[in-house]
Amino acid sequence: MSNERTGKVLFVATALCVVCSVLVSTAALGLRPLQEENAVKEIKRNILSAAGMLPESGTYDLDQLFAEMETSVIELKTGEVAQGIDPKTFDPAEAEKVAATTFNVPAAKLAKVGIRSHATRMKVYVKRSASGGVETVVLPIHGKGLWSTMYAFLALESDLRTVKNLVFYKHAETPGLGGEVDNPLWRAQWPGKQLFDEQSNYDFKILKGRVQPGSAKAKQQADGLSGATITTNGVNGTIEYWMGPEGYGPFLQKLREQGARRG
Amino acid sequence: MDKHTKEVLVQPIFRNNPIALQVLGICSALAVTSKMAPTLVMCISVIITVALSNASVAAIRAHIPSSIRIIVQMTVIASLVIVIEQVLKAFVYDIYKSMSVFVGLIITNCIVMGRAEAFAMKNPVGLSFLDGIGNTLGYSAVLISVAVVRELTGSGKLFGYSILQPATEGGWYVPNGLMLMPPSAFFLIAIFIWIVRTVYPNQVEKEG
Repeated sequence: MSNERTGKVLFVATALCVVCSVLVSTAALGLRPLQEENAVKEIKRNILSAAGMLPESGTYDLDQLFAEMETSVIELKTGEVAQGIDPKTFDPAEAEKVAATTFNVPAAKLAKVGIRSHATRMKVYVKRSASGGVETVVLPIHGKGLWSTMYAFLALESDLRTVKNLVFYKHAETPGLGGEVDNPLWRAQWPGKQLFDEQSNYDFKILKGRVQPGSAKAKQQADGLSGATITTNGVNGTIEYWMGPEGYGPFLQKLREQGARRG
Repeated sequence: MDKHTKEVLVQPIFRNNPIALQVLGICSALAVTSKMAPTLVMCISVIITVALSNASVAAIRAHIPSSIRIIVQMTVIASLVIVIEQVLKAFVYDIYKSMSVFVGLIITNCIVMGRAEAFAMKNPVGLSFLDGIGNTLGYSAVLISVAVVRELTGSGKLFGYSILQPATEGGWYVPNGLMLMPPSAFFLIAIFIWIVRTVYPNQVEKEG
């Protein structure tokens, strides 16, 4: 049959591929603005949920709630607010691509956080009380798990030592093992954990296995994920890195000093 | 609509149901049926995919070289599914998220390719389109009945609204957690097949 000629086979295959790819790319491009809007909303929702400001049910105005948060872009190195940067348009992933705003993770820390570089500036979200003191601060963190870079929001209480919440919003870890970072039961252990000691030195570890409930260090430890040692180590290293001097250390120090002056 | 056309559309809903008789597309029937909302979105997506893929395959059937026909069908189906995935992501993001990988897995739903290969390769466009709709309506009938039972008995709700007040919220109904697990769909589909085969005894497979 003429349909089986090599020429015809190649022609049908090529024509089909062209038609299908035009169809797919039209859909992808045409719908991108709507999808991006959804993604932005989703991020806002995650930030508010980390800060404990999202009502569990009922209707709410997402933008209005989000406006209660003070969004700023900070220089990680100094902890100061970055001048002349609009937090609305700032994208850390884009900033990382520009040489001037790329920070290469020191070799000694590479094994902990797993990512080679990140932007020198990051977006932070602060909820202030009526008197102007910090009520909650939400920090975006990311680091490598087993398969993927895991993205999370870490919310700290007003004492800047205690975890309010840890919400992973993007990762591709194995469902049922490392993917359990999404498990509500595992997430429920985070509120109340203490990352820093009285002198504001980092003192926290995710264990392999479970935390002994009566242990004196129970607040400075968290349960690991069973069957997901590498993901667990990744979460542990990511938190430690971002709370350290290359991460939000200087920024948190600034906030502490502000709080001390105020108090 | 003449008799044959009508049969193509209506037959697969009960008499020749793709899940009950042909036992195709079981995986998604287990995966997305614990709640009504994702189930409905899944059904609509599959109906659109199969109707359009059947129609497109039928439209070019005279030109598909048989040596690459499976790949051609796959390409058509995969493109349609990607488009649907993009639409869901843009318009019903929450439901899209709760369905996660299963939207993409419509590609591997045996009904889609089964109908393209078995029907659309031999029949004209209009009839293939109807065959796609008929078969996926049959698929949807099973999915929706499974989802109604699972959401109602598993969490006492339908579309997220409480129907049977659960004991945890001060009501009398103790939700049956098993019904939210995928295996419960197996039992329900088995019961569905049992009913269909009692009504149409000729569907019972001969023993020996």
